[in-house]
Amino acid sequence: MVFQQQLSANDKNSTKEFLNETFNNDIPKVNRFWVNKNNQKTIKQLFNPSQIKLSYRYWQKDDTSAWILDEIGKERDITTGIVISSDKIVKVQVLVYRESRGGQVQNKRFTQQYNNMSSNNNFIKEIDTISGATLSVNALNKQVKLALWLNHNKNKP
Amino acid sequence: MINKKILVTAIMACGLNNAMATDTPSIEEMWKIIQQQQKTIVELKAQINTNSQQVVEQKEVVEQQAQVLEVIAESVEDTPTISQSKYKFGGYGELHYNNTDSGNQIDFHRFVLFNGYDFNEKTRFYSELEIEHALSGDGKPGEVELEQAFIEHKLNDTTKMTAGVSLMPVGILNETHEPNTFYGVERNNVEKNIIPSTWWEAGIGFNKQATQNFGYDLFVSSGLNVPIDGSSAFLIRSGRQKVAKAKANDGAVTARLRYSPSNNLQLAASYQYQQDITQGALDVDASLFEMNAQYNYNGFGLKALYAQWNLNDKVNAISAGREKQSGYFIEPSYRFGQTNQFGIFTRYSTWDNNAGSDNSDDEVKQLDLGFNYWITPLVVLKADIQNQSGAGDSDGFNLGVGYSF
Repeated sequence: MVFQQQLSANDKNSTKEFLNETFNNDIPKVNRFWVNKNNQKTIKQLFNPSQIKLSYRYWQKDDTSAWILDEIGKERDITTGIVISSDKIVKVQVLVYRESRGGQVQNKRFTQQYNNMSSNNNFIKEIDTISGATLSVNALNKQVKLALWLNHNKNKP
Repeated sequence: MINKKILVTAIMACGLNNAMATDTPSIEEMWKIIQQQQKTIVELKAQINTNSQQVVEQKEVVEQQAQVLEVIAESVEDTPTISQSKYKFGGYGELHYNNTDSGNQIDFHRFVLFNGYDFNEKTRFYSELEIEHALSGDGKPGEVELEQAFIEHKLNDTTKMTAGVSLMPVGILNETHEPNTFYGVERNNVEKNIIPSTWWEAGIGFNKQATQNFGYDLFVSSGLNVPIDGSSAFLIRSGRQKVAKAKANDGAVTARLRYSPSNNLQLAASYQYQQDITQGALDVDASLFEMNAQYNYNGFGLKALYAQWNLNDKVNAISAGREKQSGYFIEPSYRFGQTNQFGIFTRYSTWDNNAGSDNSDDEVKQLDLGFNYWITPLVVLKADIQNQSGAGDSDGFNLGVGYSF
């Protein structure tokens, strides 16, 4: 399989670990959210991500879905796993942090702020800003918002 | 009478029977029809078989195509994009208009380009090249400066080392000084005149994030070379050699502790010791102590910093009171708006480069009041008014626009 050079064995392990933990060691088959033209436009308008993918991979069992998204902090991708159930955040975990500054967003005490939040929350207001880590915080806010939107719209034609 | 009725009925029934007899196909005809239908059924069955065969085949094709599509999608998605490229490029800049008692000027104060390259996951190169005041050259106001150029090597997820020209691990804005990250058009005067930001040296650095709350940095580097006479004698800011064929008789050691008990609060304290900041001319040892706090909660922000240099007291003989150079500022602020795009701040700062003398005439005090408007998180418009007292008397206002990417 063609994996990007930068996704090391270590990175893949952290992804697998995250999924195992989420689905009790029984990872369901991967699904894809294919992005059509309308969705592409909406995603760009709503979230302005650093990159819009052709499809977003997710794993689902019952009402719980797990998404793994990349977003640039300042100049490097932050890979984050996001678990959603009933349109609410169950868990956010930074899987790979590549930036030089702003690593505080990896801390559990930061990511657990998202728990139970939904798309109705205003993250900019409700999530702590961290001096010196503003761009990483912005990136995580974007990722969580996008995951909530993808999850909500995944079964719509 | 009854008989007549029966007769009529019988005749009618006969007529009906006769009529039915002419419409009903004969057994031969029925046989023909059945055979016809049987043939049609066989044909249809065959058709259905063919169709379902085709459906199965098409399903296989679709599945194959889906697989191909997945492979293509995966390979497209995994193709390194700009963010994943080994080459990193970025920059920041700020244009300032100053209207103060020191004069009116418009200045593209800083135009900075970042360049980097990731050799692999652990080893990377990073650089910052700056054009200050737009135009450099003999007799021109500006400079071209290499502020950073270092190799960074990650030992593990929490530990890294650097080698090269790096920013000193001191203060709030020495390392993080993109215009969208601070209030006020100009950088604060305490960090500028005491620390002195922006300050870089060549050396070897070690950075460790020991726990979620606690980290530390060490930097063994080249040192300052302050003038030993004239009005700038022993002024720390005038001692920056900028790693430009710098005198390297005496180096410096810097250590910083970082403590962050919560998301909202960041605390740091730095200490530097240098054996001789005159690089052999007068043998003046010096040390810097600096501490700062940054707090954010619900849009409310507070920054505070204290910095103090202590030089060997022999310098007082040449420049009175210069053995101690110190200052502090405190800056409350508030961000608001739907996306926190507005911010107001006020900053009180005071600094003195002759704090070792008994009189406090040399102390400059400055009060700033202003606002930032972030058009996007990385593009900011700024305006502020400044009021100086004590040894300073430069009052006025400043306007600025800044960006980083």
